[in-house]
Amino acid sequence: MRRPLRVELLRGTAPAVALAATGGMVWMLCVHTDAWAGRWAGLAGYFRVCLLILCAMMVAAGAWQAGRERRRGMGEVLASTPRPAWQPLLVSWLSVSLAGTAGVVAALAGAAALIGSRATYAGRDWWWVLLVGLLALWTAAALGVLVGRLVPLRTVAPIAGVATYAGLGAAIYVDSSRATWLSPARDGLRAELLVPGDLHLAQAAWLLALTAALLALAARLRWVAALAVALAAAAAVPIVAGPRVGRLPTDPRAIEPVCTTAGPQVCVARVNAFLLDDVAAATQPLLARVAGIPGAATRAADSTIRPDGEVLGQTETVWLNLLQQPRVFGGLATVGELRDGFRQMTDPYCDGVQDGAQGAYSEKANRARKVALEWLLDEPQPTDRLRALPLEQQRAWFGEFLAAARACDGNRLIELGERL
Amino acid sequence: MSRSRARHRPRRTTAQAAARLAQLHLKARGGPVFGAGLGLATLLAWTGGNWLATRPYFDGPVARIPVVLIAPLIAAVLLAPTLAGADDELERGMALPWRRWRLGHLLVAAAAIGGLLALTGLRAPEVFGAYALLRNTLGCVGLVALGTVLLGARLAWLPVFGYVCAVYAATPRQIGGVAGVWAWPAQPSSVTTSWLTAGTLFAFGTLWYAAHGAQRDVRALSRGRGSDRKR
Repeated sequence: MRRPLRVELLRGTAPAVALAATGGMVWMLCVHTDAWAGRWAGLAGYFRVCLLILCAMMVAAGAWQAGRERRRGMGEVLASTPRPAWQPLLVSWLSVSLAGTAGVVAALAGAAALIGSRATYAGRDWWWVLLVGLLALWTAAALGVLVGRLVPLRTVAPIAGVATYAGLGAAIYVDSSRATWLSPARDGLRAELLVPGDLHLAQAAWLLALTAALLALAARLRWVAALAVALAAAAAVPIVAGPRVGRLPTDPRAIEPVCTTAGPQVCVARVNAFLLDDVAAATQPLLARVAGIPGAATRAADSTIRPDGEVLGQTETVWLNLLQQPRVFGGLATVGELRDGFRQMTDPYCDGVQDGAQGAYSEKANRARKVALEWLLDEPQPTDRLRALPLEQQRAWFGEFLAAARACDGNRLIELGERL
Repeated sequence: MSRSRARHRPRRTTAQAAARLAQLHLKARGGPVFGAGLGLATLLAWTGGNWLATRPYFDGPVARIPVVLIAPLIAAVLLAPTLAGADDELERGMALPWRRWRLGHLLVAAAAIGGLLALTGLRAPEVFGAYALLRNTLGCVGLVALGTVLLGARLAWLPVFGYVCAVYAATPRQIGGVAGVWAWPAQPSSVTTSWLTAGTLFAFGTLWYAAHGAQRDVRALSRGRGSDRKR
């Protein structure tokens, strides 16, 4: 078995598959660096999103490899050899799977080297997410081999790939059902979330049994196929029939706050602690600007650590969304968007600011809000009359604005706007 | 009466011969399989598009973006094997104006794909609907034609498959500008540069394919030479 495998790995579809898998994985890592930069669990979770593309690629590669005998007209030659028919099939599947996995792992190793230099939290159990994902590549290759054997079309490889992509994508779109955990691709596995251990085991068992079933079907081993299908069905039962997964539990250590020790307080979750200096540099000047104004926020914090049920803009904390902020080599992706999070301080969180007369959202009241936001973000406008006032009066006006906005007092907001 | 019959007979015979030739051409190029596949892709596009647009937790017709990318891709991939015959040498030896045949083949196929897929996106056609489907059909068919000229019909699906998958995976947030050029399949149909890019790909691919035809299969040629030597 070793020699044919070596020949397949060196001269078959394998080198092209390894190259394509590396290229695909590198591309996926490059286009969404914010999803994994600085976080081990982020990389594992994002890998499960990448499976949408990688599984499609592996199915296409498996189908291409399986169609080779037909394209080259080798059926009779292979039938004349003394080896059983399943052995060459197993070798060709193994070569594609190994090559694809090696390509993906090479790209992941590069990403791991970049994460290692920045990560502030090692995380836990994320390697299970990664390992089950890698297992899915082997299952995808087996599916490709089966399809390639069954469908004698020249375009079977790309069509099977696109169909796999659509199928896995559909499972992501309807993720309310427990049965969608049968699909290895998954969106929303954020770095601070934990997938229950029994679900990992059930998924791994399901993927292994499914791989065996697909290969046995491709090799036309009827009894083995029947047994493997029964095993796959049995492995699927705990996934489909188990209790509803619902919202995934959070890793308590990952969401522990890590805060600045100097200046206005800025806190981030431990898993995002590598961003603390950058976030503090962007937000502390804004907090310092409103320090001492009654009703103004006194601290900024990562929304990952926001307690359940806490309403935005109604506490002394500005909650910052850091999901799209991490960059591979440091810094923040969009400082402007992060500062824009301070908008929640000036946004009135009531049904609509009523001006009494119309009972609808008032444009006049909104004018005061715009002036307040521009003042808060220190983005002066050419017609800004607020800045023409002495600093203490500017702060007093902002304080009055906050009081009116909290009370949803539209008439007062209009009055404040007209005062300028 | 009999004189006029005699005058019309040869013309009718030529038309019949052309129709027969077209029928044979389609059969030889796997036209029925392409037709069946296109029908299935259209049905899936219609079902998928409607399902996505009517989910309460999505943003209505905007959610149809996967359909706008995948349906033209599938149709273009299905078109790829029809762009070369089973025996290229034999075909080229026939006394036929092959440039016109190739041009007609591609234009008719593009019209069939675009027309059928556009029908599935008539509801709010400007929001990832019929217009974007038409634009992506042009771009994908153009890429397949280019792939056929450069790699041969056997591998013509590779460039379009890789490119559309890469763009979809990237899900660029930018609308217009440079993204209008490199990410044309995922742009809203109102972005002019996306139409220009797709149109250019289609024009370039069609004209190049019409002029040169499919790249010959190097392996098949070497096999042929080998068997000649044996003889």
